[in-house]
Amino acid sequence: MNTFQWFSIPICVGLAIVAFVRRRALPGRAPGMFWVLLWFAAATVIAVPQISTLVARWAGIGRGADLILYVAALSGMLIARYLYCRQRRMEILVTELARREALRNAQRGASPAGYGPNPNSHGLTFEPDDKPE
Amino acid sequence: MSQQPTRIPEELAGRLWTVVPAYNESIRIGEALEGLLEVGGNVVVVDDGSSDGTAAEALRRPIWVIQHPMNLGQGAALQSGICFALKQGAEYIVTFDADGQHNPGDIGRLVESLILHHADYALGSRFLGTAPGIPWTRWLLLRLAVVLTRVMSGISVTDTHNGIRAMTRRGAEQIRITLDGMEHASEILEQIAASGLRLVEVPVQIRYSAGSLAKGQKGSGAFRLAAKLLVERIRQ
Repeated sequence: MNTFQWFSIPICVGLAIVAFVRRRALPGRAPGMFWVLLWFAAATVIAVPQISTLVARWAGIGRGADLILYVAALSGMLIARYLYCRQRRMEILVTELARREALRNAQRGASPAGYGPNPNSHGLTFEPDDKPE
Repeated sequence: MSQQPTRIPEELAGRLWTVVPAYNESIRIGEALEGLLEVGGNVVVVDDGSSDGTAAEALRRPIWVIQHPMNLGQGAALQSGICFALKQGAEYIVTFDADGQHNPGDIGRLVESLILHHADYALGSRFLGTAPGIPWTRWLLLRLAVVLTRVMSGISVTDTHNGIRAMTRRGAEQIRITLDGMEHASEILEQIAASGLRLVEVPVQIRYSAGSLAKGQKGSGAFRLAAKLLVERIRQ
């Protein structure tokens, strides 16, 4: 085994064990087992790199390194999309929360002496209990 | 102020709401609000988390002010103002920038266009009207935005990022701005196109000042805006 394998295989195996122990914390059985299998597969491919070459040939790619590169690029894009969608959802929620708070505390400007009676009031009020859209 | 704005007829004024999004505009907002009060109608300023006393300055006048607890962006401020105006029973809603670059006199023309053309949206266009002192870089960016909007949304307008626009209640109910930043202008156009409601363009005047130019869109900001719109399109 080379130095990289000495370091990375125990880390992957350790993460697989942690994922196995904590799999019940995730809702459903599939997500927990996904992480166990992912870390275990990573440890196996690092320990026996020829596996990636076999899979690459089966998939018609040729080199194991290319297969790893393609999978990494695709995973990166999927993760980026997932995180962006998540961040957008959070952004929309925060905005909606701030908007509700702001609408509840709408203030009416003063009618300074220079203006006389408020010509724009039209008897309108904004009830604090009004729920925004 | 170049000219005395025409006052909105009293029967229309009670049903008209002008939404003014503002962020750190305490110096310029006074003049803009004075102009709006001369025109008539109801005014709601949405203070988007300013730290310079913009809300206090606005509250010196007989208008409504709502304050975001933090700076969310102009799109978020507009949507808050539109929500508020709809809740208050607005029949016509106008959006108007706080930096004094819009002419309050254009409000009457926008609302009049809605009524005359039985339209639900009247968008101000500086390229049909006038924009003295517009820098050539800004002119070029806005022209590019027009082309980009035509390609992406299929909507053909002469000015895509003009903050002065009017809409009917029915039109406003179709608008739901989710892009908080400056991308909202393109999002509004996309929602207008999707609504299938009638749209007219109205010549307006934009007055550029050192202050409004300093706060306006920069070239780099425009490219960021285009990138965000593209990413958002992919996400959907």
